Amino acid sequence: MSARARLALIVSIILLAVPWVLPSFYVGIFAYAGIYALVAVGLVLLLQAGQISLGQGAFMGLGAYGSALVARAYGIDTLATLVLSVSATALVAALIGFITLRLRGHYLPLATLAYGIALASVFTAWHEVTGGASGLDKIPPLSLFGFALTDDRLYTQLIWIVTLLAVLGLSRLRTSRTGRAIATLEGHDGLAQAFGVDTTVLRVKVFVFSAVLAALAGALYVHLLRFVSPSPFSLLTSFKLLIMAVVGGPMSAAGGVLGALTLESAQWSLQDILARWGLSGNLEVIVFGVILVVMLLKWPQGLWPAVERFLPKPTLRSREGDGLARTVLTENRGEVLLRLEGIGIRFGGLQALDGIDMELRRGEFVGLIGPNGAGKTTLFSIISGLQRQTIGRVTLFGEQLPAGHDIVRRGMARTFQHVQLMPELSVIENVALGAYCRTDAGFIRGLFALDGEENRKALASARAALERVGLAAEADLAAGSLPLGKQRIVEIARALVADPQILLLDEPAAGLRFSEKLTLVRILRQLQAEHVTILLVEHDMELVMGCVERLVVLDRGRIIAQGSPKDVQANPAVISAYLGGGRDKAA
Amino acid sequence: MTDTVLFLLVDGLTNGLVYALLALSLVLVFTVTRVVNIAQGEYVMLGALTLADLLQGRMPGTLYLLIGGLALCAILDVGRWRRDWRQASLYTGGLIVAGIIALALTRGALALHLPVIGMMVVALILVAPLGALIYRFTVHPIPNATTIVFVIISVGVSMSVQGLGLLIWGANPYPVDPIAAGGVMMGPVFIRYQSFAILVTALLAMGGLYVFSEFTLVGKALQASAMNRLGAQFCGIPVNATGALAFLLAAAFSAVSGMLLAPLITANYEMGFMVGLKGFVGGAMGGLIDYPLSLVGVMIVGGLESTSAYVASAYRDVLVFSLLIPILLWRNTRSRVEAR
Repeated sequence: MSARARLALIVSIILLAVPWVLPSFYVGIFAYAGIYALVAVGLVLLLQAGQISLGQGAFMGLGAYGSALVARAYGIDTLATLVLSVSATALVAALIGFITLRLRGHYLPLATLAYGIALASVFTAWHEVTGGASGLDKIPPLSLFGFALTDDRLYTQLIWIVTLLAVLGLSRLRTSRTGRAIATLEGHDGLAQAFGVDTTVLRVKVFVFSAVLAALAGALYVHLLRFVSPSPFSLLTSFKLLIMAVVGGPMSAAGGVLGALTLESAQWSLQDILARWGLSGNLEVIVFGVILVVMLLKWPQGLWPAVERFLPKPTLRSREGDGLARTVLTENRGEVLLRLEGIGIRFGGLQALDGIDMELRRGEFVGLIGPNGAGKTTLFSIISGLQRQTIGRVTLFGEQLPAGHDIVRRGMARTFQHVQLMPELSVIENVALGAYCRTDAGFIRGLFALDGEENRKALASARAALERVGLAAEADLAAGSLPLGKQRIVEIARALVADPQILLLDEPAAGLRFSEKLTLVRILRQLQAEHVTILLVEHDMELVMGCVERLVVLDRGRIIAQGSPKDVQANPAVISAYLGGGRDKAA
Repeated sequence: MTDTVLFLLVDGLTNGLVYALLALSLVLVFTVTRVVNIAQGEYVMLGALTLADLLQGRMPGTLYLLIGGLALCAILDVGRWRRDWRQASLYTGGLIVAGIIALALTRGALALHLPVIGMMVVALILVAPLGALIYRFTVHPIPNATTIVFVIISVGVSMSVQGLGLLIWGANPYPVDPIAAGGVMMGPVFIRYQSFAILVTALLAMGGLYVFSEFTLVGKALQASAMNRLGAQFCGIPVNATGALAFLLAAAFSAVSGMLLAPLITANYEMGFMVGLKGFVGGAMGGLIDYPLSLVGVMIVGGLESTSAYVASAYRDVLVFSLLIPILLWRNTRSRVEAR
């Protein structure tokens, strides 16, 4: 057991022992803190995925009312009520998620706010069922195996067990296949798709899971209080939960617990002070609001990093042994892998590409060059499925080019001109994302640590790829801490882990130092010897001319020359496109 | 039946116009600064309660907020003294003068017992600068943060301002005098003069903003920052100043809508938040960037609200906020078409 795990165990034991030593008044407060922590942990997961929910209180309410109603109506006082109400909330959340998570940017927070208010209003309005503003009482206690949990201390302990299990699960998830994919959801949509992540589905999964935690917390809450009314699930609660997540910070699920404990103790001490000053009402919200603003302005990563600095390093997951099996590519040079026919794209009045016909045969090493604004990047986006052409056809392995996130599964991987790494994850985790399409452990397996062997293989492949590109020593550094040149090499390693038959490289040499360029050339030559088909967009002519077999030259959205580097260099159209001489005559 | 329909129509239109001023504020703030300002409704509350204080001859608590804000502004800029003490003393002096003017103005207005419209102007002068101050405190330090960060920050601002409202005014509702009491029978429907006042003010505000943006240099700078922040910066437009101006104007519009709304309901510390959110539902129709479409949106919200208040009053908020989902879906399909 590592030092980190031992410490986590000790802290957990302390938290579980706390209910038994506190005076009874504080036991209730500690129980609430555990309940809020459970929701906050789910919100931290949402933040990690670049999402936000201003309506989490409503999901708590759904879980709470669901459990209360089932327990009262059918007298089922077992865990079954919990399961029922949490599943029902999950269904509602999935429905809402499918509708709203397609929304981008500023619409999403607004949508969460809207359904948060709408659901919370239903709790008050539908008083035939919910008892309206006065609520429902006489809710039976929860029971485990026929033993009613009426002891507050025992019940508080149960709440904290659930919360700590959630933290444990989500910490595991963070270092799993799904966790790596979740990290791409915050602002790396193109990257996520390029490596086979179906972003919409994953967003909904994250959203539903956070709603499940909220519903579970709500259900635990009503069986603690044995009374339910709309006010604890109002917008103010949603806001408070959000503050907890922000104060703890999005770095770790444990941040949610830290945030909840911090805010709850702040709330109780503030209320105490305010009462002593003779002030009544929810005046502590002034301070909470200020805390929220100041945290985001000064410490957007929350309090967790400050705590983590004093903790021993976490154990790294195993990466020993053999990686995933690699495809051995045949040397059938005649086969056409990628074919473009009559590709054209128009942005408003600008015809960015027009009538592009091009083929990529197995094992070929093709360079795509052209002056700035020639349309290289646009063509690259079309080939990699990020952009749709206005007219024309792209065929990959004889079939029509599939949707963005399926391309990598067919065997085509890419790197990005603007480096797309998750800066706070380690280099090896970034590279292991490349194996996403070749592995299949999902959300649940990640959560319950049932992905050990597969994850080991993925990391072993990533380690092998890093060794191959000469970055083995940097494997455990944060990707954002590497210099730009090395980051580009990391991108190549990541694409290699996807085991591609076709590799698309978008300006891999930009910003590389001479020695790094030599490494790049060595890797490219080696890949060529393994019959990987490569399409390279690059401005460094020396590198291009020295590597590729065939060049395609674009200018103003058209192909103006194709052929061996030597022929292209002598082509007058190419010379005029690059040097500008005779352009007027040509036009 | 026709009477009811007409009554609902007038009621819906009145509500819609109040939300229209909010939507105007929200669109203005969003286009210029990319902030989705959840706290916009709090200026409604501040406007209404400030007016209530002034009309009843009390020193409004807003004045202390303003002076406190100016002081905090001076403290935050303390680093300026080391760089350039001349400029810093000018700046601090300006803040002090602004505080004194606000104080003198309020005293004068209270001594003169100005009519309602005069008091509204004074209240506006007290509330609008708070918008610029909040911009200075919350947006200015991190101009390139993501939408989500700004949303969360505005949640914090909303909580704090609402809490301050509770601290200053307590939880009691305050009555506010209308610009003109009474009303007129138009056919079968009784229409309050205040509704006319709302109509006229809303039209003036929209027309004023239009003229300001199209025909003045500052207005054009505002538009330029809205279209392309970086580009505007390269053209020498001080984007922080335009951002603060947008916040100030938006605060002014929202405060006015609060002062007009308060006589119809009553003013209390939590009246603004919901009004602000309903402005959002309407504004979302235009994607928070399109003024005319936002106007359509708020009218739908106003109409739905008065109809549902009549048919199923308990579900009023449920219906109004559920409306956002179809609106957003419609926006989403639209924006995809535009992208193609």
